[in-house]
Amino acid sequence: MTLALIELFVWLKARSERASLALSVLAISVAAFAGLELALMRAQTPEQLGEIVRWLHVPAWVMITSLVAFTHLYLRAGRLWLAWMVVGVRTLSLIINFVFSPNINFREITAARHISFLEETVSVPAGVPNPWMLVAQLSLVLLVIFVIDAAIAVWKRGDRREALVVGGSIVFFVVIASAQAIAITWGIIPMPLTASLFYQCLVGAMAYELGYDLLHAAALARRLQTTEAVLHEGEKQMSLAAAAAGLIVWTWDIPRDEVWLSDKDRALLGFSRNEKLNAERVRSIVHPEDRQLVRDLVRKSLVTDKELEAEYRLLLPDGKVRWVTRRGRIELDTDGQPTWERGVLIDITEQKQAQELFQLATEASPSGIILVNDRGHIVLVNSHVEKLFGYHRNELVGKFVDVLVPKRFLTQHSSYRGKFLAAPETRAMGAGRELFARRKDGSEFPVEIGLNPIQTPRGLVVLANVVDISARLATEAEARRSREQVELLGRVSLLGEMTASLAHELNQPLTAIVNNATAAMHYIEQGSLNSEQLRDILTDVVGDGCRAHDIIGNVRSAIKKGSAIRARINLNDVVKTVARMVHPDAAAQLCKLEMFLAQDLPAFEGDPTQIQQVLINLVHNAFDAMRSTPPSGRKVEIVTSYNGDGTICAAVRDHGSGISGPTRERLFEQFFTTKEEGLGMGLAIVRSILEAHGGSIAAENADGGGARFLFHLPIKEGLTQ
Amino acid sequence: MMTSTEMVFVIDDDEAVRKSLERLLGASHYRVELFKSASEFFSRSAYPGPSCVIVDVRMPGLNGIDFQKALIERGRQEQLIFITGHGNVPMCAEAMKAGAVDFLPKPFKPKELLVSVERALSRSAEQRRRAAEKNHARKLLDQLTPREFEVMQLVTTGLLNKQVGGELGMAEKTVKTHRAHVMQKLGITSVAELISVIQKAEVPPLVRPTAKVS
Repeated sequence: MTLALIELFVWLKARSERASLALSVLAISVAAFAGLELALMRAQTPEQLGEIVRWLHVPAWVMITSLVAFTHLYLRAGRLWLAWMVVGVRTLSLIINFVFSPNINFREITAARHISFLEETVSVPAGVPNPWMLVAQLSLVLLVIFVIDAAIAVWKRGDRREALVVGGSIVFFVVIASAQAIAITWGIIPMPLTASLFYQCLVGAMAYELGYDLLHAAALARRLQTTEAVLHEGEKQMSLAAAAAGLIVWTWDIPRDEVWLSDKDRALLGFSRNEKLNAERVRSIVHPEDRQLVRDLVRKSLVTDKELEAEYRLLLPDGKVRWVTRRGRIELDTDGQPTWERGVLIDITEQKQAQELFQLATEASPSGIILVNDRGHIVLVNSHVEKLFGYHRNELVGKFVDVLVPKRFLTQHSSYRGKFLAAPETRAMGAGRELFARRKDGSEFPVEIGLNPIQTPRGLVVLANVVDISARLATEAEARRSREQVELLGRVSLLGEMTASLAHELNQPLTAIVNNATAAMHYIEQGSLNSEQLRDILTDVVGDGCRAHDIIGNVRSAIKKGSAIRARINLNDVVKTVARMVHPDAAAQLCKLEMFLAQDLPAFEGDPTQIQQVLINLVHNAFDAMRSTPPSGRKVEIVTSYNGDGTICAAVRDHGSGISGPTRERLFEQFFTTKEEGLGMGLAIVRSILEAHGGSIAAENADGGGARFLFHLPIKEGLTQ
Repeated sequence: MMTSTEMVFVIDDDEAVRKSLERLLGASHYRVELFKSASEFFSRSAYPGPSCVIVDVRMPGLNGIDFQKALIERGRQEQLIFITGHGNVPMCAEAMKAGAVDFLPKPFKPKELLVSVERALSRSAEQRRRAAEKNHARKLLDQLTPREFEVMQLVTTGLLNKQVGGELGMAEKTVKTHRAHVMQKLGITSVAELISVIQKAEVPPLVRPTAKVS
């Protein structure tokens, strides 16, 4: 009874422990059974006995039913249909019990036998056993089968102790009690019915089992409490750490749609302390522009147990915008339904601001910026890179950086990249080499690239600074061209100046000579010339003649003086320079200029400027010679060659009308010209220069029309005086 | 033919050229004066008779072209022949536009120079003659009274006496009297002669009032 009360109490305390209720009912019924048994012992008449036995079946039914219930509830095993069968058969036997008189056990109780039991005289029924008793016994057999089956299931489940204690004791006591009852009924053993004793033992065993559980639970609870304390401590520490790290820890009870936040975090996010938070309320502080993003994220997170992460903005009640990273993971229950989502919000506003600032700075940079990781993948590019390469940034990020390198440099580039990663340092890429980059359309452009290695938590990244230098190169080339042009103009005008002043100088004595001679002739014609006058005139003529000679001599010596600069010259280089210099003139006169340069031309010693002048002069003559040639046929060829006889040779050939016979004779004479505006000094000076270098010049008509001017220069001999 | 009043001036910094020119021109009986520079020439007073100047383009100090400009600025009308050791087309064009007689590159043929000199001197003589005529005509016209001048001007435009009277608001008879005085003072008898005098005097032609012509 006491046990029954305890179990009842346990059940009352914890309604969910229905096993305790069953045990309690069992205990009560056992107590009732025991009471009836005692009454049976004291009964005097067969009628009394029959009546008591009949009523004994009521608690027996309750006992068996509660045993089934207990077994099922406590062991959480056993086949339900078996359980129902046990209860059903037992109920049937109870009905039969009340149908027959006196009861199911006896057809007739003939006498009340008095036997001595434990030194006391007790009465037991004696009579004809009722064969329907088998129905009651069948229910007991079924009970045993049910319990054994349940125990086996529990055993298999791994709870061996429970299987043994509960299953074993039930089977053991039920079998013994039934055997005794049968034996007594059939009159095999003379003793009173003491089934309640066995059942009491059974109740005791069950109570022990439940009690063990209770104690166990209590211990567990104690342990849990300590753990919780530790946990609480941990939680406190964690929330401290979280606060320090700008972390907001949150938990979302999904079925109830409740969100838990610490008081401090509530304050931080602008929620009041007691406000009930649900997902929608929490979402209300998300920046309106980002709300859809968060909604999508949550929807996505509900169907995965992976941790999801997203960055978005919060618009706090004070109007401030904070950037946060949200990380969360769903917990699923046994049915795969989401129960909890736990996670953190990390305030990344400052990081984001810095990032934005960096991005702005990067975007604004006038050079292309490419961030490449250590595996060679592009991590970031700025808008200038899009402009330079013709890609959209989405097409570049994540791609291998080699897409920006011209194909012909690919193998080189990957080896250079490996070397750089082995010893990263801030430096210009490809020192001394001309670098080219490849656009989306495959075209290339010259670049200058600065490399800056940056160590990040995610590994080494390389910041490459790309500058398109095509404009600069073009400017440089333009500057070089114009510099050469100026040089050329200087040289041409120097030559012009020189010939002009030479002409002026020479024309003075020539004029005087002609005037004097003419005057003398006039006097002779007039017959008025005396010898004195004639001598005066002739003296002046001789003086002017000498003066003209001296002028020519001065020019030659000036040329020789100019040759004081002596250097080793490669004639091919001179030709190339001159070709560049006269290119604008050639273009202006629609004239093609071709070069056929001998390889391995030996160098010679001389004045590079003067040799340039020779070539310029010859090329200009060639241009002039083709004024009347149709533009399609205007072509000047410059050929250099080495004869192997110690001289090198250059030929300038035009496609003009060639040189006429009488002209060729006087070609290199001073003041001989076939040009309307010519002074006739060019070729004379050319010859002077070449002779000063120990060389010579000749002119001929070329096969196929046009003139060819050929000059030879000794490679060993220096200047001759 | 040549008269002793003709004079050729030579400005050249080259002594040999100067001297040879003096000889050449002397052999052709021109009177010659030599100058080493343009400024030396300016220090001499302007020659009253027909003359020309042979001037070298390239000279230290004032060069030939600048010399020409300086003459024009001073209102002098010397005929110029340029000679040059090395001239160019623009320079030549400029000189010719400014009234030069010739532009001869050295070494020139002496005959070319002499032809140019002759042309220059005749131009100079013509110029002088015209200047003298203008001077004379102006002097004649200066004798007329303002009224006579007006009448004369209208008569030269071809108006009849009556019309002239209408223009000037005087009787035809008065016009006739004025006209007779003009003819007398100028020593002429016909309108044709009158026009010639006016042209020589380079009197600007009268802008004839048109208001009263119908």
